[in-house]
Amino acid sequence: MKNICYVLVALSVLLMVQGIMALDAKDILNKSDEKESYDYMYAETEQIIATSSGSKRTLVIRNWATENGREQLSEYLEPADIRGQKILMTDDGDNIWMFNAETKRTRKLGSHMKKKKVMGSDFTYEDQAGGKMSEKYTPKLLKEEALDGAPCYLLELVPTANGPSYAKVLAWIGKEDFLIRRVDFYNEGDSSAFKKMVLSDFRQAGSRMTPFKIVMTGIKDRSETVTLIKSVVYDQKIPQSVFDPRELEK
Amino acid sequence: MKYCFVLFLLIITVVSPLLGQDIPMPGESTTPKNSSNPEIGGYVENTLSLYGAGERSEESVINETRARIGAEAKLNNRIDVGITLIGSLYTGETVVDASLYVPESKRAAIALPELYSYEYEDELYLQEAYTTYYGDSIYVRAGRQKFYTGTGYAYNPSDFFNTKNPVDPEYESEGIDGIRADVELPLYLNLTLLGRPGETIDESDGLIYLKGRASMGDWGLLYVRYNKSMIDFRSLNGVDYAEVLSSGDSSLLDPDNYVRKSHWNYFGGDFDIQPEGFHIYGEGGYVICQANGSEGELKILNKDHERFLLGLDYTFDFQLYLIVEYLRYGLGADSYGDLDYADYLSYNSGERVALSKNTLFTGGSYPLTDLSEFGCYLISSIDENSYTVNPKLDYNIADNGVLQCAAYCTLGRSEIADAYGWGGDVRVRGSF
Repeated sequence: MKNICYVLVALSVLLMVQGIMALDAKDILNKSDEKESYDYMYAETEQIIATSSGSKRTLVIRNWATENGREQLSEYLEPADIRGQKILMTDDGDNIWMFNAETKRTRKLGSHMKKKKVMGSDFTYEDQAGGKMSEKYTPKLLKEEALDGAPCYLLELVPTANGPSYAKVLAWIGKEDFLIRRVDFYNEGDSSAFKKMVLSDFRQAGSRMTPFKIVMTGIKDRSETVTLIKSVVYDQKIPQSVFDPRELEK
Repeated sequence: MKYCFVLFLLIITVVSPLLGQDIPMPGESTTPKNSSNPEIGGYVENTLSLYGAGERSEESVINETRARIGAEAKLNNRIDVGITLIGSLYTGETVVDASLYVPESKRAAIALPELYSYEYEDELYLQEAYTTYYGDSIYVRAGRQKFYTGTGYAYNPSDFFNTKNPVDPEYESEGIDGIRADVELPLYLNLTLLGRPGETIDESDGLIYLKGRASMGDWGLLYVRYNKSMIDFRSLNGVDYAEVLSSGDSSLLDPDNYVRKSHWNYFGGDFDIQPEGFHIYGEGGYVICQANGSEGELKILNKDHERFLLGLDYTFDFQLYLIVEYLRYGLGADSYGDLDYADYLSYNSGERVALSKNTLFTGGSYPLTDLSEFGCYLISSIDENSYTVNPKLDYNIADNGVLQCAAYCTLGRSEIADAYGWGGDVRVRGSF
């Protein structure tokens, strides 16, 4: 009887350990979504765009977002030639409106514009569009790999039918904190990534760890965009009217 | 009691901005504590234009130096004021003979070409000067302001209040003097009412614009009451010059005395949908005219007509953006033979949207680098048989500086190509 108990206990422990070890790709992505999720977010950022020719352009942006960026509004404060321009994305970027402060005209953009770079940066509208990764990609766990000393899961993410336009992306997700640390982007037929995003300088902001530095490198374009978060506030309620296209002009 | 009320108002005015949220709202000053300070911005730009046409002996040059300064201030959470001032200085060939832009065979009918010269004069004007009241679900703006209708990019046939140049469709427009109210209704509906006062109620313009959102896309319904005026070039051209000389009455040669008016009632709408990743949009409707007479330009002014635009655009994965817009303009001609000098003169003065009944705008743009974009567009005036090629390049030369180069070249029927010729602009703008 005693032996049976030992066997049962050993079996239970084994099953528990296996359960922990058997985190599959979907679990990892779900946990990552959980870690990255927020109801409301407001951030002030600086975006430094560097081209292959060495020219630089610095943008200062304010962002308001709900539900992981499912709805988000960006307002450009600098440089002066785009001051006051606003980009509103709703439904994970399926609807995009742009307000031109100079002409005071709001124009709806086609959702295909998601593939276009935003204000000359290396980020496309769909890179900036929010939503849950687990809803936009089908994941596959490739291996475990350390990235800058941090143990990570390396996932291959293939977009779902309504997902982003990339052929696939590779994502390094921290094993301990489930935070995304690096993403490589591939187009159809690419054997190597054409751009990569590295997230660093993680700091506690409210209840959430946040990367205060995000570097998107256009490997083929030899360009780079560095986004520095200057301040961020989570879960302070933002009125729904902020995400209403009727309000853009106001 | 009266003083209490004034004190209460004062407290509300002074304190209410400070009771705001910790995070700023869009459009708010970057320094919320001083949100009543005006936000000032603007630009200085220089546009050097070079253009030539077959009938000219040599190329012409004109240079415009333009400055714009605007200020906006929130007086409190409910009221803001804004003002924008624009000044332009011109040098070069500032007097333009508009008759040179009329094809040769049609120009022959012009009795006195000098009548159609116009001059670029240095100017200073208010582009905007308004006060806005922000209610909970209503927004009222009074004064000179910018306002648009329609979904088109190169053309907006339903926008009677703004003139758009398809060669430079994104350039800023002049303001509209009027009072506008935007009312937010349930179900994502938005109702806009605009009134532009004229000398009498009958001569005033106005519109009612209902916009909505559905699962398929956005839509709008529009009614516009508009007093359309056009110079009656045919009557002006028919003046008996011998009589003018003998009577000494120069007013007979003043184009302003040949302005004809008609009340237009436009019923239309617009839409914007995105099937299968494409972006399809359109706007259009029907104009019913009310004017007395049918002579001269009134033939045009009194013609009930359709006008609509259908557009499609798409962006490829490799960043190439393509656009196609078809414009149907009921006041346009069915063929080149139906056009005369007066049609060209009124088109060149911005009184008409297009010369042809059918016009096609096609083209695309591509980011050459992160700081530069190249675009090339073709404007096909199908029934007239002329084609304008319009390449352009935008380059961010510095954080606050943009260089824009654009050119146009007219192809197709040779005498139209000769009349419109070719041209190009180099524009440098510094913003502050």
